[in-house]
Amino acid sequence: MKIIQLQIERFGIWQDLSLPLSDSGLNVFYGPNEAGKTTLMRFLRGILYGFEPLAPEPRDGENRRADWKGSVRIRHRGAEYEIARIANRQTRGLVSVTGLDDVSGEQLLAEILSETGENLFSNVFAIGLHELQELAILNDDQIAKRLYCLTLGPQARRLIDVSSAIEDQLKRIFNPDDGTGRLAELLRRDEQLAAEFHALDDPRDRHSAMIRDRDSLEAQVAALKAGQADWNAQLRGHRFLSRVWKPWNRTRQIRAELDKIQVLTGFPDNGLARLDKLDAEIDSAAQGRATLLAEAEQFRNEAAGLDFDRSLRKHKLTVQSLIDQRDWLAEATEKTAAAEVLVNTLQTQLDEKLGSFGDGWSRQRLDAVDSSPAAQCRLLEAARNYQTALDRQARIRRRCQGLSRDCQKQTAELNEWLKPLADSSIDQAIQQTQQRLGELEELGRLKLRQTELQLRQAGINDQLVHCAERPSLPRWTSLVLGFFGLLGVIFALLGFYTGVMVNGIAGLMYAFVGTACGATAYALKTHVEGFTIEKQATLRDQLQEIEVQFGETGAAIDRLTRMDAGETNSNAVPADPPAVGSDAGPDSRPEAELVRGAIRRLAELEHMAESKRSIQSRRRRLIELRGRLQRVQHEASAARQNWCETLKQLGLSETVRIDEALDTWQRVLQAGENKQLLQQARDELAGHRRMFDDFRQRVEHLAQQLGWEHGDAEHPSDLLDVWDEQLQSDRHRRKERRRLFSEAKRLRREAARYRQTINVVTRKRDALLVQAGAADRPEFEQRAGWIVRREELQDALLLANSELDAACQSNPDWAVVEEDLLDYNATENEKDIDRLNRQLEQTADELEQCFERLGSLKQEIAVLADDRHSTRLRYDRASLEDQLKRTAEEWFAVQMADRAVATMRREFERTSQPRTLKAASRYLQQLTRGRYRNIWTPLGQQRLQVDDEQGRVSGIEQLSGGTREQLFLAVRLALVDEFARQGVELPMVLDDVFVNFDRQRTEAAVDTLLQFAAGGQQILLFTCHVHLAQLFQERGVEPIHLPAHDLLVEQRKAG
Amino acid sequence: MPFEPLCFIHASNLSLDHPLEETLPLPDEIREIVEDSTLTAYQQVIQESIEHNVDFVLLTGNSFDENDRSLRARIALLDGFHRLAEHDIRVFVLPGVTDPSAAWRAIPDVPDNVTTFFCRSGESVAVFREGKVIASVACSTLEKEANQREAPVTSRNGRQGRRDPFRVGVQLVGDELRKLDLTSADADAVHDRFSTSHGPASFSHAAFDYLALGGPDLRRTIATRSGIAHNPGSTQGRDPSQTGPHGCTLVNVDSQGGIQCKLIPTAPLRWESAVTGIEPDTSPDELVHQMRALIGQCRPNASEHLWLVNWTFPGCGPLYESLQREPGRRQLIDLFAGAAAEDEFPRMIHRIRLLPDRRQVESARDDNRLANDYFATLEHTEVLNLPSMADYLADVAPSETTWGDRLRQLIDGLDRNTILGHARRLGIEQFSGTLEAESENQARGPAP
Repeated sequence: MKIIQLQIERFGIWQDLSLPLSDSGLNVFYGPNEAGKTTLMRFLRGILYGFEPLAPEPRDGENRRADWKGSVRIRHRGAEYEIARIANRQTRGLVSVTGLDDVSGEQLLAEILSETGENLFSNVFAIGLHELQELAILNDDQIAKRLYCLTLGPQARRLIDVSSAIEDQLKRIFNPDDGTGRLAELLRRDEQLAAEFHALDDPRDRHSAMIRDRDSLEAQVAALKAGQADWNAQLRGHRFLSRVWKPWNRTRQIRAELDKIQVLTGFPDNGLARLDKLDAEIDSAAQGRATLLAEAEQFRNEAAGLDFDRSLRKHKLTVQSLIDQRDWLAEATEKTAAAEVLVNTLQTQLDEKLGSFGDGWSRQRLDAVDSSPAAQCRLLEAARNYQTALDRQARIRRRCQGLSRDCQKQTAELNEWLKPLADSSIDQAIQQTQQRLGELEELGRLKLRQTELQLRQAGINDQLVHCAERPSLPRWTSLVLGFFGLLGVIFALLGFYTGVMVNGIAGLMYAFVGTACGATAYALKTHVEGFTIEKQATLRDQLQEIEVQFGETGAAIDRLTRMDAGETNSNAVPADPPAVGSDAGPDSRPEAELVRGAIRRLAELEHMAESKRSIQSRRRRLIELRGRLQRVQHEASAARQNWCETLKQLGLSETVRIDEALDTWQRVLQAGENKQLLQQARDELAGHRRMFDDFRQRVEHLAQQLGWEHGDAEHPSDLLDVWDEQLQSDRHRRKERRRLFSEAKRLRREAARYRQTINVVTRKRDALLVQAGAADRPEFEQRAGWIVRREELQDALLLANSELDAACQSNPDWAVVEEDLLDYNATENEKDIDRLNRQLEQTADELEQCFERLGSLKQEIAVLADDRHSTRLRYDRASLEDQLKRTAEEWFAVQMADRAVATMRREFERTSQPRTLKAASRYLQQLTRGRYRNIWTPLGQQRLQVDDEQGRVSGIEQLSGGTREQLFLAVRLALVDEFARQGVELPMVLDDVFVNFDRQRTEAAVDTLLQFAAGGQQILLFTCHVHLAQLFQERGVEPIHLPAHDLLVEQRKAG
Repeated sequence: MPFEPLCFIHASNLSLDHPLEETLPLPDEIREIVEDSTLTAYQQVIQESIEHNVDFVLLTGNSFDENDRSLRARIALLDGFHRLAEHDIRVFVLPGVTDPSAAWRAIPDVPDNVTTFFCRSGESVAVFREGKVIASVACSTLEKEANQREAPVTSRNGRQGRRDPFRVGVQLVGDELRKLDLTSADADAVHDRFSTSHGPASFSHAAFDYLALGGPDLRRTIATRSGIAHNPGSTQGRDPSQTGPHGCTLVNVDSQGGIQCKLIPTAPLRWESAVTGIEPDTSPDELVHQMRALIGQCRPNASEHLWLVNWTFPGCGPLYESLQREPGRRQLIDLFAGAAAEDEFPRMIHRIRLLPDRRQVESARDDNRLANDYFATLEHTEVLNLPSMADYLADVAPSETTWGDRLRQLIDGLDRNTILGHARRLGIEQFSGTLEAESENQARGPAP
């Protein structure tokens, strides 16, 4: 889109302003402050995207309620449009876009603006100093997408991913910031182990000291042991004497007592004990016999007291038989009750089902229904046939209805389309349209011919003019040739007159040359003029012929055009109404549009013809379907009759509803089954009752025979329970009686055996008394006491002798004489022993202490020698050292990879920047005269970086204000380039964006803009600085001087 | 007979109770074997000395690390000395770098059978058998000076009449010996059998028939003008670079002065390493077969209880990718363990290291331009040396900080190839695969 004129009726301070613009290149507007430059930019933005509703009031105070109104004439893709907008200051205004022959609104405007938004226009295309300085604007989605290329390529994505992955790996291995990672943990562990190792004292020193202590203790122990051995020897001597004296003295006393006791022979061994045993046996046997006899008498008395029922014994088997049938009786009773319940239930169900069939149903009718499988097959077959006939009938009916509806709809549409044709048929209309199309093609050819003739006419006129304007020979030619001729004559006369022949001949030759050349020139002129006249005549003939052809062509065009004017309205197709407000004459209507209209009309007519044929085809199909529907209806009627007949034969009520009839059929079948079950249950109940009555009669008969009253027992089983208890009781009493008799008999046999035992033992006792030489028991006991005492003294003597021998043998090195024993003083000896014991105990204590210390020391030495802690610690350190090396190798490897990827990334960022930034880099280099060369952005970030001429990298925040504005301007120019490449062609409007540039960079900016505009981009630059306007003027761009606002107001007041 | 036949054991670099390097975390039962490996190896040296009834034992340098302050090392050392004393076996000790003379002086109750060369100016010490001197042991510097004053030594084959006993010198590798012009022979070929006919007489230390070397060097034997110089290597491999069997050397001297050096394996833990490539079509079974073939070339010794095997797999393909993850590695190791169950090998712990194959890099470079740029940048711009690595650390861990200093200490021990391999692997992971087609003209991309 290029702006070729601004027309402001009223906007801001501007009224009735008309500014023609160059549609390409640079337009510079110069005006002082408050001249309305920014207002012009706002006006332009408002026309394109809508006025700002809250626009400030005009400062002139006039027409405050008047609307904003203005227009912009543009050229877009070869066509000119006028975009006009009017607004009442509360809305964004109504827009209209007027072309050469058409008027449209928002849609066309949006197409012209390439669907760009107002924000994009304000941020990229129409910017003032404020917008230029706004960094955040570059982060707008639509801009950032092009500037930073948020959609990264696969290589960039892979680089970012790899960088991230490597960074993660580095952090996992070693993150120095927070001291985490495997390497950090290993280093910490290493420090810990080192500290632990250094904290250990030298175990070898301790070990040496312990060894010395051990040796010292062992020497001490040896000295104590020597003293202990000496004292032990003395102690053993005293103890030996003490030990020997006691048995020796006892032996002497026992021998003296033995000499006093009488010696007896023949006394039975162990006589007193044997006598005591025999007496005890006699007493025990007598006492047991008496007890047994008393118990036997008691059992006999108890057995005689038991009583029995004799009649029960007679019918015992019959009663037991009936009792054994009690389980069968209980089972029969339960079955009878269950059968009664089942009969009642089935009866109720059958009544309910018959009631649900309706009033006409009874058990007799139910019996009359044929419920055999063959009947069911007949019923299902009839139902299937009937249902199939009904489905087919409904399907064909639906198809008929649908086809009929489509025919009616299509016919109505066709009639609607045929209305404009009036009495003409479609074929006639098609023929007329084809004829019209041919005429229009002829009209096009004629107009082409007319244009060609005009061109030829213009060419011939040019040739005629060229022929008429052919220049004649210059005047000096005649003068020179005449001068030569005249001078020759004079020389010839003078030569002949003076008599010099040579001069005369030379003069004659000069005269001849002049005359000959003059004659030749004249002849050539005459010849050429004749040829020109002839050619002009030919051209005039051709021109005349062309005018004739042109006239004929014009007449044909007029004829066709009039015909078109006459037929346009009459043959207009409803779908192609004439354009609103079109008042152009037939001549102004482009033939191409007419041809397109005719082709469109022809296509519509052919579509109508096709619709008509389709309607006829559908009507034929509809007739055919209706015939089929009639046949199917007959078939359905026959199937219904068959169905009703089948129902009647089966005994069911007639109905046309198949589901209902089948449901009734199912329920009838269920009722029949129910009835059969009821009959079976009744038969079973009667059988149970018969068996129960028979059993009752048998029980009552037996009760009469036994003479037992059956009292108030309601059920035979109750009576049988009583009989069972009586039978059990009788059986128990008989068993008890037999047991009592048997026990009494056994006790009497036992008593007889006791009597025999008493006799035998009495004989043994008498024999024992005789053997001891005693008459009775007291005498026997006195003799036995003498024997026992003598044996005790002899045993004591043996024991004392053995003790004496043992004492002597325990110390074979020691010898004792009898005088020493006779002189032995026990008190003195004990004192000596105590003294020696004390000394030994003291030595033993000291030895024990030494042994304890020595044992403890040896234990410590052993523990120290076996201590693996230090070894393990060293092993752990060595192992950790290895792990540290492996992890450090891994870390260095990842670091290498990180640096390599960083290098690749830097290279990528500098060489593979988005196209927009590449272009921006070029513009920045121009704007800064090469001071800054490259704009780039780190991968995956929306941050601009700039490389200067020495390769140093700077961020935006590090740049000076002017350089930053140059950077942003370069970015805007690159963005405009990028949008233009994508088909967005909008003018660029710059409002004093160079104010912070120094002179050198201002000139560079001017040159850059001129170069940018030379590429076809339209730029409107507003400035209030004279030097800037002069810079453009020096480069051939004439600034447009905006009138001062005060002057305008005065002019309006004066006008 | 010019010589009394004798035999002795030469061990070096015991490093008692000093941790092995790069063993990585291990299960407790295995860890105990590893922790005790140096002590076990020393006990094996003592046991072998007693069993072979040697005349003396030489311990040449680095018997323990004084910085460890290890009591277990001292106790084990003294226990061994006492056991040798019980069998009347003398011990000659040369202090080393990690066990300087001061450390030996600080050991109390050293048995009388132990002779320590505290300084290089001591006299030679005679070794007696049945009242006769059969050998002399001295520090090499002293003998060198003495030798310079004496007449040139005649060759042993050309010896005439009576001569001194078998002369043994002890010398640390790493000080003056390295300054000498030695003619080294292939250690594997020479160490088991050596005679006077081998090796030119180019060693200036002609005063010794046997120069016992010590220090951190690997096992090797060097021909000298009058005998051999021998370093038995460590009794226990210290790190993955010290692969193969380790132990002490049993030296037998016959009556003609012929010297036989025989390796007596003592190390309970053995390092092994192997490299085999993985092709794109290599199956796990095939890889296990290759691994078995490689490991089958190494025969185990009776003293070895544990093998730490480091596998390096350069390659590419599905199997290579599966080995990037722990389950895949575990599966391969299980497969190998199952296949090797019938073999009489000690328990093995496997470590797998994967190196990106050149084809992987080339494939990634062919896939897309970014990968190509990455590897080009990696190859052309990065020189991995100490300054550049310190530069990496400058930003994240300044030198004045504790961690910074610690990390700088580590730099020297890092494997540059591993780092580059990691970086390449990272590039393959991040940049592999073709880039999706550019769909928008406005999308960032390379300049047309």
